[in-house]
Amino acid sequence: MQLKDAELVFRCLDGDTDAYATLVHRYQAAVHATAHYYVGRYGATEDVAQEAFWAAYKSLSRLKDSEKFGVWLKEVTTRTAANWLRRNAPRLKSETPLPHRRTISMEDARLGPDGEADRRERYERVQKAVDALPERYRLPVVLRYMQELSYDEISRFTGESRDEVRGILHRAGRQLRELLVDRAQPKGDASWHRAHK
Amino acid sequence: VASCTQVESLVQAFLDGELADSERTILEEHVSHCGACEGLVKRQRQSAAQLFEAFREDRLEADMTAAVMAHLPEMESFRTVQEVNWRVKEGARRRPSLFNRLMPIAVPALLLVVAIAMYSVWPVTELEAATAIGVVTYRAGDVQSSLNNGVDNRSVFLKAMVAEGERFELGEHAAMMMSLAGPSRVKADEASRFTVRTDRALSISKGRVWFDVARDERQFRVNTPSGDITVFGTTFEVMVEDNRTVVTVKSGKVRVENNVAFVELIAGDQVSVQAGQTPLLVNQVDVNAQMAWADEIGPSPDAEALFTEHIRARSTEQLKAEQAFVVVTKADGRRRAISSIVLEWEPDGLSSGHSGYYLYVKDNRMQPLFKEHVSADVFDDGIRNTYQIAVPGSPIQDVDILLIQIVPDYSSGRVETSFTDVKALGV
Repeated sequence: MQLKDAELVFRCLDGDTDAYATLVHRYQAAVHATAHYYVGRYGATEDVAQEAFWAAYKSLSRLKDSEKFGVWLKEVTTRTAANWLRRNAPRLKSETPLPHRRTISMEDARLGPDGEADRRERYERVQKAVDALPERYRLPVVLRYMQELSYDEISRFTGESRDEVRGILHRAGRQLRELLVDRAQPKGDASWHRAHK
Repeated sequence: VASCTQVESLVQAFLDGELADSERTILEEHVSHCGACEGLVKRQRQSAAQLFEAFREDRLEADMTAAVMAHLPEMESFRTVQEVNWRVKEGARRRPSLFNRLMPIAVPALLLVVAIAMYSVWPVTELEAATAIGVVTYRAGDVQSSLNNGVDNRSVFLKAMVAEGERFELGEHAAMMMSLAGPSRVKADEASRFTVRTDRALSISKGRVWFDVARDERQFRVNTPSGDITVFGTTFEVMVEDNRTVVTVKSGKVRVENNVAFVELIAGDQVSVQAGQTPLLVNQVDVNAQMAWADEIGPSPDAEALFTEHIRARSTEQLKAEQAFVVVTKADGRRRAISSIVLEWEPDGLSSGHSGYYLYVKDNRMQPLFKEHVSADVFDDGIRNTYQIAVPGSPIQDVDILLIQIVPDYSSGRVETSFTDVKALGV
């Protein structure tokens, strides 16, 4: 049986670092996704994610409600990312402001230059669609599609209830579908859809 | 049957595998015969597939736990965190801690405690100074005092005002000194217990107390369980033990009495009094050795200044106090046996508030003969003008003159009576 966050937090405060390792393991996907959401375009996701876990551990005794470790960790991560951006602002200004930088994967190499260009285009389109979402919808969407977190896991991290998460992803899903599928593909299903309207 | 709108709201959760069984059954049933919704599910799935594909590249694949744990910093201690929280307010975003939530109550409560503490320690309040009859000028060790019969117990501090009726109790190894209006000085040794009734009256129930009494028309009276001491201006010490009181005189004249007898002491005299004992026997003692303990206690200059400012200068009600009569008992060249004494006075018409009187009778060699008490009721009569006192035991023989001192006791009132004459009646 999995230990609850609160129990693990208490063990950490007692000096049990293994308990913190369990929490890191449990939340690394969410923290990583959040870090990517803020600083991914600068390639600082790993650094910020690690820094966030260290900052959280350092000030763990400042956590008021150990039941809400996830929500608190999200705040710590957000703050860590914001600090990173502020700290690196001078450098980032002079750098090429790539909207979304990503690493070259094995798949890119396999697909060749054309496939790569195609993928690059789709990637940019998805990022644009996500950026068009209301601010409040974006992090749940990133958590869902980047790390495939369940609604419960998202809820524990963002602090919204499971039903709120479900509502957010439903509305975001509809908007994304309209942008990515309904408008982008006038032929096929969309035309079929239009014909029946 | 579910509508298309209802089904549309379920599609995303369906694709995410987050639908409850009942909801999933509804959706699947509806989609099986509704082409529009079937298409919707298909397009929604395409959209999700694009999202998954785009985000997959940035997905965390390697476990970062080891990297995090390898460089774990030191955890801030709870105290540091509390201090940081206190200084760096994080605003309403953060739920206030129990400590912060208690602040609205804790601050006034703390101020109240401080106010009470300051009030109890504050050397002079105007009210206290107005009713005070003395000031504590030295204190060492544990000294407690109470008013109202011990209801209101408090620790005694240097410069504390002394009120009428205040009871003092000294702990082991404690000592204290006070100045009373007059000025009279009182020094108390460890484990003493006494009550300051007025600036001219004390009662001691236990321990050892030294007095330096200012000369005044009013008598200074000390009560103990075994006997009473009356002085007008002198330095003496009273030691109260379980069933006796020892009085030592350094200077001046002191009258010591029990319920049946009295004796007058001068410098160097010491008497031990027990209730019912007669006569009272006087010894000579080394007074300086006897009172060495009191020499070690001296007043604090600050406290003494406070006393001088607030109390010493205050005018006190002047009382007539002791009246003395000389009664010649020899008539026609012959000594007569005296069987009773008659007091005469002018009635003042008042029916209450009179003081009772003590009568001290001495012979021509100043040796005590007997003492008697006249109740205040006698004077409260308002019309009555004589009172006859029978000599206890056998009549007084072979005495040329009687020296009679009449001293008010102030026990029931402060109205004094002027005696016009005192006569001796023969057998």
